[in-house]
Amino acid sequence: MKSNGIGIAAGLAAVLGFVGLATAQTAPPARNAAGPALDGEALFKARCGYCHLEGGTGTMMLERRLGKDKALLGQRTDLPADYVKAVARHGLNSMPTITRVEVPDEELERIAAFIASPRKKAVRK
Amino acid sequence: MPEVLPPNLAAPAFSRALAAFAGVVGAKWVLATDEDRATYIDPYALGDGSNHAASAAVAPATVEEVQAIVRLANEHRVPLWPTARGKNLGYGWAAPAMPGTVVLDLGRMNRILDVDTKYGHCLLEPGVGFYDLYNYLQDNKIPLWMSIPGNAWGSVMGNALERGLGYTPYGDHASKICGMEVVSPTGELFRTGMGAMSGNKAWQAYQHGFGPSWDQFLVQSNFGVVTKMGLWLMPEPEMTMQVKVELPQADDIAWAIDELHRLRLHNVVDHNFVFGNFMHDAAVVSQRHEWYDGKGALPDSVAQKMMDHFGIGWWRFTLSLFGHEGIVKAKEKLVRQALEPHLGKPLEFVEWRRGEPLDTSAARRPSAVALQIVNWRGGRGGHMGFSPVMPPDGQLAHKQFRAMKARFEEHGLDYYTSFTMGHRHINNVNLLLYDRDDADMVGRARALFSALIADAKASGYGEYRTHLDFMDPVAASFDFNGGVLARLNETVKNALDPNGVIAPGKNGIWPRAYKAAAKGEGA
Repeated sequence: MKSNGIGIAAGLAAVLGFVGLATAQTAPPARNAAGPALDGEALFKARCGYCHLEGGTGTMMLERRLGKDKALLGQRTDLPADYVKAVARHGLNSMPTITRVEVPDEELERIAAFIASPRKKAVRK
Repeated sequence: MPEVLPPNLAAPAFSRALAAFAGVVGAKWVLATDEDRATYIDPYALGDGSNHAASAAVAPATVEEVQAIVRLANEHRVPLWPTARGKNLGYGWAAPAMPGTVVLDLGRMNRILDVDTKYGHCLLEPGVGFYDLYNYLQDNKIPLWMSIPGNAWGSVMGNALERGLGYTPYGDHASKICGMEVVSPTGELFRTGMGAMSGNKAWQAYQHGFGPSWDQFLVQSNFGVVTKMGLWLMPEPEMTMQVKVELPQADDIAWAIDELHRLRLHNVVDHNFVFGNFMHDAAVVSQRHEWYDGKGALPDSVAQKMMDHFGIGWWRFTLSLFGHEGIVKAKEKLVRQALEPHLGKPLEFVEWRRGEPLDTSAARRPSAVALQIVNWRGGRGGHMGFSPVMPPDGQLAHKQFRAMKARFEEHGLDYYTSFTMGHRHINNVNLLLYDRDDADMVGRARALFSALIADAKASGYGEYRTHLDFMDPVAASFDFNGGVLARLNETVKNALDPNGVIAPGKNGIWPRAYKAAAKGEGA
């Protein structure tokens, strides 16, 4: 049995605190952007931000499995683009699959390139 | 993901059908690779989910394309499973009831067509998610509040069509539907309610129209493909007050439900709320192995340690009051009178007034954090909801809680429950949390689900919504007069959809063409 780490304590403050579960997420809502083509970072926020920004459920799961420094996908530099694409289409552990309607191939290419990029500015929210 | 075909259709005929679909939507939007089929498998299924494998998906962008696809489906005898954003988590995802069905993915139709600030309603396409509408209202500073379910990744329309729940006075989502546009199973376009009159100015204002009302007929059904939905939104109130209440003892449920029913019936509290056990939040912010490594259900002694650690009660709920200040303050007094004598201490409310940041208000922001529960066991987590509807009576709720807890323990699963309070009913939402890679646990979860359907029926309760795996047995539990309602549904289905192309098996309604598939015989 392990003790609760910082991340879980932060989650507790959010979830068990007054405002309750659904108002607790600190990440801004994702954008379902229309109009001109978005770059990889904007697409990452729009399509993956539901779960993978600060306070998101994917961030919480990754922190539990891999530690705080690997929890935020927007600041990882160790994930090859092909790996990102495979996880999106096949799912991983509790992460569900992402269809080509939700994220078309050309968008996933840009998202994967952004996550794989070693020189990006960290994206938290 | 191996190839799967619709019943009654050989591979060459199916290929011709897909080519015809591509002629309407473009080859890019006919999704038929192994990988595509796998993305439509329920990621939280009991087992591998192949019992509900789609043969392909097709994604139209316009109403006209939906009509064309439905007509082609009739011509080629291809069954379609409409889905809005495909996030029916815990109930089957985007997967069809009948294996081999083609998913009709409406996610590309994602326009917010209208938001009327004065009258408080909107008109949406299927692919509009809760986040999308929330952002639109926020970005345009529109003083209307949404009702948002616990997990808000999905479609506003899809959730209402499944009778999803939120936690404001507009939280009974299906009851806030006002007017639809629908493609019939033969490809005709019709509008419900006042929208049946061309040029009518009250389509989103009056729910019933002239003659029979069809909106609710299209909820949890397979009688058409909804392409537009009107929905009422709540005007921003002058103020809100919120109070979180912890009940330390499991048996507190008996008095609490009776008091809360009275508050709810008289509209002192005028929103649905989760009356949930400690697992509701503990399974979000921690994992099972942090507390207990043993087999079998979580022992009560461990549960008590969790509650002590987090400083929470066996039961927890949040009450909100919405409206003008005079009304809210009067309601606050009534809530205190009802609950404080039992609690032996004053309730601590948090106030919000219009113009202040929404963080302290009873408005909700969309969130997907609730999905964290699937990680309770680690591995490839799964969850499934069993949700019978019952009267809001304290003694009945207490009896139900004890019986359900015992059933979960008998099957070695942790008891996660909410007695979610509606206006005159309780949705007793129980979640089965399991590790999909543990075959023994999956088997126990399946056995538990079947036992719960039988238990509920014996108690006089039925489910409000269920997973694909259990639509037939739950439909069969509605057995008045020899199951006459199922026969009526099928009579209507066969009349409207002679080729049975729209969502065969949805909520246990099987068209003639696929009746054999319903019995697992292959059509």
